[in-house]
Amino acid sequence: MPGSSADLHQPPVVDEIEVSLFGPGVGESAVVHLGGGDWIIVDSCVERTTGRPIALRYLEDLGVDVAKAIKLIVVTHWHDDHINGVAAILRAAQSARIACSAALRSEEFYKLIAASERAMMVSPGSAEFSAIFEILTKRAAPGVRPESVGPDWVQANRRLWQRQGSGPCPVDIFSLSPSAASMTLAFREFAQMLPQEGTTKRRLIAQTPNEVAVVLWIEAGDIRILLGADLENTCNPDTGWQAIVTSDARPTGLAHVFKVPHHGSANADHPDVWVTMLVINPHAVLTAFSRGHPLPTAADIERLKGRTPNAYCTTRATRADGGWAPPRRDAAVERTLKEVIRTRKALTGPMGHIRLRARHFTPDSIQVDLFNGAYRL
Amino acid sequence: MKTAVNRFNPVQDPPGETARRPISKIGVLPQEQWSPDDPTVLYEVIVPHQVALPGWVEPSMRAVTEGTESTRTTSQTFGSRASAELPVLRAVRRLPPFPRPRERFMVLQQWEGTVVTVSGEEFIAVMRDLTNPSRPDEETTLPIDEVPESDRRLLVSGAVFYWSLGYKETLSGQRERVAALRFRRLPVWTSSDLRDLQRKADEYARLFGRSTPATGS
Repeated sequence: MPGSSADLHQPPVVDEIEVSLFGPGVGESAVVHLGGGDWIIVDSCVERTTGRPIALRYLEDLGVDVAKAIKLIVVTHWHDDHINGVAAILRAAQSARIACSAALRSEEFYKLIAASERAMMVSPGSAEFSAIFEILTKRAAPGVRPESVGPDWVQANRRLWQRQGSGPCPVDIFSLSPSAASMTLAFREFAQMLPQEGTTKRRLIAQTPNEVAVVLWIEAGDIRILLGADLENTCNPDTGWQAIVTSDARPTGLAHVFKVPHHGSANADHPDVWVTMLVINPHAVLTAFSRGHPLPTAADIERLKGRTPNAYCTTRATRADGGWAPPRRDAAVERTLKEVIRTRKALTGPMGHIRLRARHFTPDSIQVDLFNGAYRL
Repeated sequence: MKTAVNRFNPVQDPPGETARRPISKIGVLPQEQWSPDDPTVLYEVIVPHQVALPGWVEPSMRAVTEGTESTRTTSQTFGSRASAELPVLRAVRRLPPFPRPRERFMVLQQWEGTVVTVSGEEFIAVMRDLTNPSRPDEETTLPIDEVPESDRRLLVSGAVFYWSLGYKETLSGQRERVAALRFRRLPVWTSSDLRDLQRKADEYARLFGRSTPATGS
């Protein structure tokens, strides 16, 4: 039975795989130990109190030498809640490659980054990319193009990273998305967001469904992991989950661990994923999302419980509106707020943490631990 | 006695002048040398103590006797248009103005808000606590009435505003609770800006490459 009596700061042993998922209500970050002291980080969010990426703090608390041990950082997409703090991780992880969706390697996206810099109203996503580009430019040896040090531009059915001879077991990491059709749609979306002459400068807000997120497939020993990012379904069979499920170029096999996409929402759920890509009753992990219409909804939770009894969420909102009670402020401020505003909720609570570990990379030995408010659905 | 003095025009002197500096030479200061000025500005005029001050120097003055001289501070008055002169023993000095009582706004809490959606008579914003940044962001629904008329056209998705709550203390000593919402005003995109964006995008493409939609490579 999963619980929090396990030692949070006990690092995994050398032949133990770990998947840790963090989320406080807005934002998520996954940290994966591939055995042999090799780590990867997928997306990033920061602790409110310190402003530091939770992934870095977790690894440092485990005694991991982040400069050498982190091999790969994957930015699944450019939305604020997945990228906050990535530049700080890249700066610390001097041995790591960074991988991003190839849909971002476009003139339109570059212009959006440049527009955010000039508008003096930088959103976290664009600020992180500016910082990432700056770090990579400095990291490149003189006379060498920064492109050689990254980012690795990711699209469907490509190998991102591999470990063969050394280490406790072979490891392969593949990207299953974005498809070429998704990238074309993304270029169009970015073009529509570009500033027009005569319009007022303002902050960049991403509003459209996510079709270009990077979905990862990890094989380590006998264990397979599917990290679904925020990829959603679309009506176009060449994009989203439909493109992945029907692809004959992706790795075969069934995953034992599934990071449920887009906070368990119905528009990111594809029944064929559960049938053709996952074992029966996989370990499913997800993060909550409290902004706007909160996720997962009650219906989402019931659907997930129907798919597997082993489903876990990083954090549970304390209020019916999907948020948390805002901290109390000066009495005069509170009186004014009561008179003026209509609704109000804090968007983040405790940084919940779901940790899965398996000794000897065997699926039957998967152990689940829940920390800081994470719970079983 | 010298008769020439520098014409003094207090309007040209910077407001809030705190340094005491001479504004005229010693000698005779005719009435017509004085120009209209802020009644809160004071001048120090040092005259022989036996001199009767002409009407245009009165009414308010403070006299301090030092030795054989009287030191008087005064504000000028324009009651008399009769020609008069004032023998000054030292240069007339402009004194720092009295501090004026002003209204004060005491900020108790400030947020930076980003508009997410605008719908009907209300809008939703994500609020970042500027007073205590370690506090979580909040999602808030505000009435459009809270936005000043002059800022309504700025109320669009992605717009940034500042919302300050606190107390205002009036000149009469009253204290009122206030909430002030102000949108950040940024200029519009110009053709020169857009050319700069293209240049920067080209630089990024040169450094990091560019995908083509068809193949993605």
